[in-house]
Amino acid sequence: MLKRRVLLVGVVALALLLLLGSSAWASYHVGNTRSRGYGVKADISTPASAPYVGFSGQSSWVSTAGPTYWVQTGWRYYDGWSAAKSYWEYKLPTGHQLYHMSDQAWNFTRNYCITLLDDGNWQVKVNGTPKGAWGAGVLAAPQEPVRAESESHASDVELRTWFNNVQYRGTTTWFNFNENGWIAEGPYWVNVTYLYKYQSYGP
Amino acid sequence: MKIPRRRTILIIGAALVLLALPGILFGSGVMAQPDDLSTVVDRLITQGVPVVSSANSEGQVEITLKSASATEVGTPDDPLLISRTEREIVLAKSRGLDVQSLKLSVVNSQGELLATGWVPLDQTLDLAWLRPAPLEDSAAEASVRDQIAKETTLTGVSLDTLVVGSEADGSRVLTLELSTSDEKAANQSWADFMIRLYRMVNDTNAAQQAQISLVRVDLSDEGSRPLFRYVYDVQRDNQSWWQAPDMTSDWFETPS
Repeated sequence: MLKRRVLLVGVVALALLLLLGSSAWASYHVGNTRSRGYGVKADISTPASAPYVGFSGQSSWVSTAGPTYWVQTGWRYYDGWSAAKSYWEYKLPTGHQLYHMSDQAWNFTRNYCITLLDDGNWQVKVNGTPKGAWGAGVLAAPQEPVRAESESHASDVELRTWFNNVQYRGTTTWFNFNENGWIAEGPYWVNVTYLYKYQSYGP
Repeated sequence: MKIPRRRTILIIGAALVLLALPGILFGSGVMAQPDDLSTVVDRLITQGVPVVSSANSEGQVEITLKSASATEVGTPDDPLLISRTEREIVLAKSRGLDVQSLKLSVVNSQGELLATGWVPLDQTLDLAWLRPAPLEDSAAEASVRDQIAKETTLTGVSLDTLVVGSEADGSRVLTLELSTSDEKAANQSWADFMIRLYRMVNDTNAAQQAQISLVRVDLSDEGSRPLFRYVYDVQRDNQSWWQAPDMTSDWFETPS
């Protein structure tokens, strides 16, 4: 009887270990989404000090919809880095590209923007300065939806990012996010002040 | 008789000073010649980059590449060709080419547009990195190999080749070739590996003056099917890659 119990405990422990091991890496999204937009922009702050990321990392960004192709900009911070870095990233039919622009200090805010140009390309701007523009037929406007989110790659990564003045672009004018398109995956949640002002938080 | 002779000596002296002035001012016996666009394009074509057109107008360079793809989706090589083109233009700017932005388009073999991009060129690269680094190739190679062994657990993936060498222009490149049975096996440790590789290369450059300018990663399955092709231009802090649809995205950002 005792032998059987020990065996059972051993099997359960092994199963737990396998489960934990296989779920160590993931992508958890936390933030808000607007169903359609010709652009998206937000003031995205870094936490007051370096958050815990373990061996993994996190990011906070504005992005076109995906899931197949997208253009995105924000800040990211991974294991071993001395600071968060502002970046832009895309996935197009010609592949992925990820470019780090400069460090974003802790407790610091930058305005990140993606907007559709007349030529059909999606332009990335940081604090109003153009940083690049990309396009492909498969990225035709308006994207559906536009997002302003944090992303964590492991459940122990600490998120505490403020998004403020989160806006989408109609055909010409910018408006505050006005829909409940919340997402909070894994052990994370959203502290909501308004639909256009919130904090990703957890675990 | 004496005055013309003195004048001749004076003129010769002034000419010698003028000839020597660039070397005195720029601290080198030979001044780097600024590239023009045709030189850059020739260099790209020599490296196998399929440039089909180029133009330079008011500081904006426009280049079109032809992908080997016949469909509306590019090939695994396309991101590497894009990165190579961008790097050569930034190197040319660093040598004095007057360029403020790059418009780069990729068409498929039918001439149909796959993607287009515009970037401001607001950085130059340290050309000293094209000269031999204080750390020798073998030492840089040993350092990276040691760090990979100590800091990563490559589960489901085999590291077949790790080489540090040089490009034709002198840029130091770290090349990693890996193999796996399939995407599922590779994904067990791939995100961890990619996050740590980025950090390891930058730490090695910072701590040991390794001057690794480029990192290439090539992952294939046992049937030589490409699963992941990647280049990290360390000097530009720019990563370009293609990956098979089922490869993990847990080391970079995705919108959903």
